[in-house]
Amino acid sequence: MSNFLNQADFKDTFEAYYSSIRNFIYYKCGDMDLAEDLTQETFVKLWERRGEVRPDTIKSYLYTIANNLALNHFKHQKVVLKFQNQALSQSPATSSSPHYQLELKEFDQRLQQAINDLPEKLRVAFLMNRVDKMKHQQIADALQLSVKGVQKRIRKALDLINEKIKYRL
Amino acid sequence: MKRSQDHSEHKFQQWLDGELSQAEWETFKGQTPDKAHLEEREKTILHMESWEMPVPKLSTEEAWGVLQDRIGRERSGVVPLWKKPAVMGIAATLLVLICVWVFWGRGDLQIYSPQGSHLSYTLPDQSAVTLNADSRISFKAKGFKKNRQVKLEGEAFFEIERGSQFIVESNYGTVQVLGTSFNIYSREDRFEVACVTGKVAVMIPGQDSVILKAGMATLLRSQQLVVRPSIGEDRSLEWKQGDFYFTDTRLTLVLDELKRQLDLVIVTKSPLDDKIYSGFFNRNNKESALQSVLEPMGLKYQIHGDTVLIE
Repeated sequence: MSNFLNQADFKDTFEAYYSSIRNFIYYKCGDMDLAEDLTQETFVKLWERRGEVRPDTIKSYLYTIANNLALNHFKHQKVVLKFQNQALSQSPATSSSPHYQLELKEFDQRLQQAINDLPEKLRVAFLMNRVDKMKHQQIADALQLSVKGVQKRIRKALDLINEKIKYRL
Repeated sequence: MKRSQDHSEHKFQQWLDGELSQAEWETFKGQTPDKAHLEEREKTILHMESWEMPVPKLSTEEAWGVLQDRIGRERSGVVPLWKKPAVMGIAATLLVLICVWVFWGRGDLQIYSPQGSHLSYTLPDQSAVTLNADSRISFKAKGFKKNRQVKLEGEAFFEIERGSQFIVESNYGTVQVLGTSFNIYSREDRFEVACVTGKVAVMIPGQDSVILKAGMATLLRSQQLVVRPSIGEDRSLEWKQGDFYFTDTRLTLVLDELKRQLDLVIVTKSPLDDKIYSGFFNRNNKESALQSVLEPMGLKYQIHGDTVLIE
C-alpha cells in the first residue's frame, strides 16, 4: 500500500494545486462561482480514488477530471473573463495625460475582448502562462502536451490577439 | 526568411519563460528584422503583467474547510432516495416492462439489461440488484428464499437482505454474503468485487478465499486476488448515476465501456497500442462522453449516428 495517498499528503496536494485548478476552470468558463464548485468536485473525486492514483500522475489526473467536469457543466457558451488591471485602478501619475489614460483603458478593453474570443485551448494555455505565471514545462505536465505544443498554443494566441487589436485600429 | 523567424520565435519563447534577461532581449530585438512583430507581442505581454484574477469567494484555507465538511458527510453514509425500497420497487416494475427479457428454461429465471441501459430488480427475498449495461443474472425463482443463489455475467450492484446464505456465481469465482451490499464486475479478463457494507467472502477455485469488509475491494491480477481499499459508497453508486471512472486503464477497455453505456459501434482506423487512460465520462451526453475520453488521448474522431470512427 506504499503508493496510497494518505490524509497528510492529500492536504499537501490540495494546497499545492487548489488555486491552479480553480483558475484553469475559470479560464474555460469565465464563471468564478462555477470554477470554485467544480474544483471542490475535482478534489472530492481525488479523495475517493486516493487508493489508486499514482503519486507521479496526480497533477495530470486532477486536470483531466477538472477538464471533464467543466465539459459536462458548461456547454460552449460565450465566455466573459474579467481581469482587474492594477495599472488602471491606481490613480494616474500627474505626468501622464488624460488622453494617455483613455488610450490605455481602450487598449485594455480590446485586449480583454480579444482574449475572450480566443479558441478555448489557446486561451487556457496562454492565461496559464501569463496570469498564473506557469512555465511551459509545468503547463505541458498539467495538460499532457509537449513543451513545443504549449509554445505553439501561446504563439497562436498572441498572433490572434494582435490581429484583432490591429484590425480595430 | 523562415529560419530567422524560427530563431526570433525561439528567442521570444526564451524571454517569455524568463530564460533571457531584459537586456539580452533588447539587444536581440535591435538586431532582428522581426522587431516590429515582436514588439506588438511584447506590448500585449507587458500590458498583461498588471492583470489580476477576479476575487474568488473562498481562500484556499476556507476551501479546504468546505471540502472536509463534504467528505465527512459522505463518510457517515447518507442514503440517497433511489435506494428506498418503495421507490426501487416502482422503478423495477417500469423497467421490467421496458427492458427485461425473461426466459423460462429448466426453472431458471433470467434478467438481462441490454447495451445502453441499467436495470433495477427485486429478487424474491426482497434483495435488490442493479444491473449495469450488457449484464445478466439468472436464478431459480422457486424456493429462492431458502436457496439464495444467483449467476452473474457482467456487472451488478447487490443489496442483500439478511437471511440464509446468499451466493453469487460468476466466471471467475463465487461471492458469498450474509446481509450486505457490494459491487461485482466480471467481464472478459477482469474480475473485481467491492464490498460496500457488511462482509463478503470471495472464492476462486484453487486459492484461499478472501474476506472483504466494508470499504475493501479485491481485484484479480495475474490470477491472484489482490485486496485494496475501496473508499466511500460513492464508488459503487457512480456507475448507477452515470459516471464511469478509470485510473491507469487500457484505452480499449474504456472504449468497451463507452460502447456498452451509449450503445455505440466504435471503429478504429489505426491500432490503439497500449494507450492508457485516466479520467472519466458521464453517459448522459454522447458527445461530451466521447470528448472526455478521446480528446485527452489526442485522438481525432467523427460521429455518424450510432457509429464512431476514430482515426
